[in-house]
Amino acid sequence: MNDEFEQRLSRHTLRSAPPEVIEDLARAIRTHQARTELRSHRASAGDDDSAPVWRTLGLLWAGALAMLMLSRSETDPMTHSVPRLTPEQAAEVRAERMALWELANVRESLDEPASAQTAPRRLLEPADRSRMPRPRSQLRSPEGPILGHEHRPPFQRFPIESPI
Amino acid sequence: MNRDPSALEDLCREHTPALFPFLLNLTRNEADTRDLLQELFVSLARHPERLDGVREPRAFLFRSAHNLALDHLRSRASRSRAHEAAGQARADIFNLPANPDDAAHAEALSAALGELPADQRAVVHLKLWEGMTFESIGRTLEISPNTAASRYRYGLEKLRSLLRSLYNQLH
Repeated sequence: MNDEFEQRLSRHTLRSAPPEVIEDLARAIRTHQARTELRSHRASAGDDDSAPVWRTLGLLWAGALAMLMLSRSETDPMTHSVPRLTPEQAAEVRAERMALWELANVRESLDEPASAQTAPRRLLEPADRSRMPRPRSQLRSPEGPILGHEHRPPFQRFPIESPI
Repeated sequence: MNRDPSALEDLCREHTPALFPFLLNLTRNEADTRDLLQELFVSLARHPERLDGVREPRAFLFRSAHNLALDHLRSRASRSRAHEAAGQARADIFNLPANPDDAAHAEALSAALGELPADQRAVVHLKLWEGMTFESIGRTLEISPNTAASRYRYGLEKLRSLLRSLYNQLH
């Protein structure tokens, strides 16, 4: 404090807090400390009590999941297990299939006409119809024929000189 | 600081008499001062770990109160300036002496302090009425001692100019 002005200012006494303010604060502190303590006590007690509950819930969840998977495996045809055949049964099935196949081939050959036996049964169409082979008469450009064996240059015969 | 539940109450009883006028000087409103004190000590009751490692409880409490007051002033400024002006008129920071001249001077000083910016007001308060050094003020308000000294000088000059006419009348 250097000068008189500062001394004069500091001579004024500050108004202190009213007693009821301090008592209100002390009461609020005690209340909140009690609440905080109770909350922490409940939290710690809650941790101990909740363990069996969580364990039971976990078991229930696992059981439900297992039942769900079991029911799906019974109803879903994709998950059916393929029956296993003994080698004898497999041989029987194979022989039966072979006999049926042969029988079908024999019947088919009997039903077909003789002319069809040599010719191909069906001409395969090309995938693109625009590229189908055109008749020979159409293979001409407007300017003149460009394709066809009749427009080949004539075969020229050269005299063969006999070596004799 | 220990975490004994009664320690916080002891702190409250010991330091609230000084914190109350400090906050009243900053907020210029008694109801706001009570609310801020409640907020300060209830927060410490909920989180006693904040007092762990505190070496100077008085400085810590003043710093916390100062920060709360600044936050409050910012929010109040954004809410309503008219409310602030009304609160400033009713702030009785000093005990009113029986002598009318001294009472008038106290009221004039209280009003003049309200004219200072809050940061200067805090430094002037801690220097003049808490008797802190600039180093101590710097630690409390988390500013450098030089900053504290310059804020004090500016604040005192403004008070001098505001109160000069009153001094000339009285003396």
